[in-house]
Amino acid sequence: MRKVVMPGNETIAHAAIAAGCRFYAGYPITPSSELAAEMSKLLPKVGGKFIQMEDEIASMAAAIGASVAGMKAMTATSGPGFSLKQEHIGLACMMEVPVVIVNVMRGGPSTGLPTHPAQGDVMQARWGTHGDHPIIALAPAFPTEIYMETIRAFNLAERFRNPVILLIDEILAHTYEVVEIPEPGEITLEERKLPPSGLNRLDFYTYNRREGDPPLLPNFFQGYNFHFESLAHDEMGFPTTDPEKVAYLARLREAKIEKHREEIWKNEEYLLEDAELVIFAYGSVARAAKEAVNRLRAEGAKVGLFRPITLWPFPEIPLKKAVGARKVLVAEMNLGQMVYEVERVLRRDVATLFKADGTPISPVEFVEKIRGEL
Amino acid sequence: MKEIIHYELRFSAIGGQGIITAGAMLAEAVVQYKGLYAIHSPRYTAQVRGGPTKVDVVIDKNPIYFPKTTDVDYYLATSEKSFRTYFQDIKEGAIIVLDSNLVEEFNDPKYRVYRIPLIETAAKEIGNVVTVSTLSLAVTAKLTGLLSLEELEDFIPKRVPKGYEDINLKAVRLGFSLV
Repeated sequence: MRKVVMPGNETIAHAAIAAGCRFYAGYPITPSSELAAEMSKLLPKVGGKFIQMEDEIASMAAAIGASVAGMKAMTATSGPGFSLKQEHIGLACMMEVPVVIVNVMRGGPSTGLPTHPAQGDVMQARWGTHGDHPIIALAPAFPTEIYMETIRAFNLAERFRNPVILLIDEILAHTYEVVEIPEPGEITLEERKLPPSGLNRLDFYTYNRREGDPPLLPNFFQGYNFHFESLAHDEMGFPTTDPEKVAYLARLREAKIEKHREEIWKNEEYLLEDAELVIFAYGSVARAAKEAVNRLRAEGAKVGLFRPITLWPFPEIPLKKAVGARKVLVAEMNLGQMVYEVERVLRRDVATLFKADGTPISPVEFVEKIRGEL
Repeated sequence: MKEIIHYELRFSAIGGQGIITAGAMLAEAVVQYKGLYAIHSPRYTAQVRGGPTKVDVVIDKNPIYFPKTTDVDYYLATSEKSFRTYFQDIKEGAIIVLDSNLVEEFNDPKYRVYRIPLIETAAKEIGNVVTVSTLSLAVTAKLTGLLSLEELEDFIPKRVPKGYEDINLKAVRLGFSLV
């Protein structure tokens, strides 16, 4: 392990390289641009490819293309660019292509507040592309965690053959902090499983695929002919409108995430044991919350924090277990998004602290709010 | 040096002046030489060059949760506009360092105010305006006691671009003698 001072954007770039990412396509946009800049320096040194594409749509397409050719691929963007990428995120979900998309959240909607933080894209990460689709979204909050979650994003993408969205915000992207970088031997990398060679023509499509497993698709140039199809398709990749076949493939896509959600869920529970009030916060807001918990505990107030690191699939069971019947305060740098999930899971109203003016929620604001609640 | 438990600094300027770099170098140096945790968090407007910018530096004995300042102990500014824009959360008794040519008269007995012609000194006495980053860092190190002259003399030559080691060392020494 070595300690390095880096901003979140650069941390993600270094972690991506360590995870085996060898292709980056992007279009620069504040506050994510340093990530692209760092990738452009790092990738050529490891034999990888960096392309600045003409726009966000094309860069998403290029990342998908590199992935089907067998490379671990990534793109990064912010707000408006994330909107543009949605069409092809759906394509990657439909074709079951592993790819990592980093979205550095800034104030929105539209071009909004390019240099200011927000958490307004958390629902877009889940439902931004049209149609029912499986998705994984991670929201790390601390520097070393950003590094490790980037690696996990690649591992999950490769394992489940699905897009994984890594969400940070302007604060985490631009704050220089001490990152503890593990040695290569200290991290586990997941490589996508490929079908064995020598199968009969299209047999790999059905080879060993059970409900809950990702498909064993070959990479391009592996010697197989195959179809990647954006239309609803049968298990051989051919377009179909047969309701049974459409439903079957849709179920397979959903099930691969759904059946493994307990392995995908990750959260931090901080001083919850005797807490009378539980803060639900994620990303940089959770850091202010943690600081506030410490300040309130010093005054004798019994407060704790539930911090989801996996936002999607939503941590239904861990949240329910952690909170029980206690008071809950949901805090977000938006006008209320994940709160809908919290209320859905807990089946009751909760207290809220929302802010969407381009400035972070500070520990002082938490302390004042919670004093009023207790 | 007195034991640091928690210390917050802010550097504000006009984008391009090099003050953000001073904050960045300070955070790196205290991590390296003092074994403390430090973060620096810049803020700039869409108008990167020419717009008011700031960088917040938080230093702590323990890992830092909230990566922004809430009670600033030290505030350095090299432009009137940015000084006023970011004059928030400044603690009573805080050290305030102002570029005497570029920030208007500011007298408030609640603070310890120093007026130094930082940019002019870098340009005329050291001979290159880019050394204002190092000069500001040295002034800050001296006034706060966060880093010693010897530590900066070791750190700066490794941190600045090749070919600029000597003038930056000159800036370190001058910064320590100015205050």
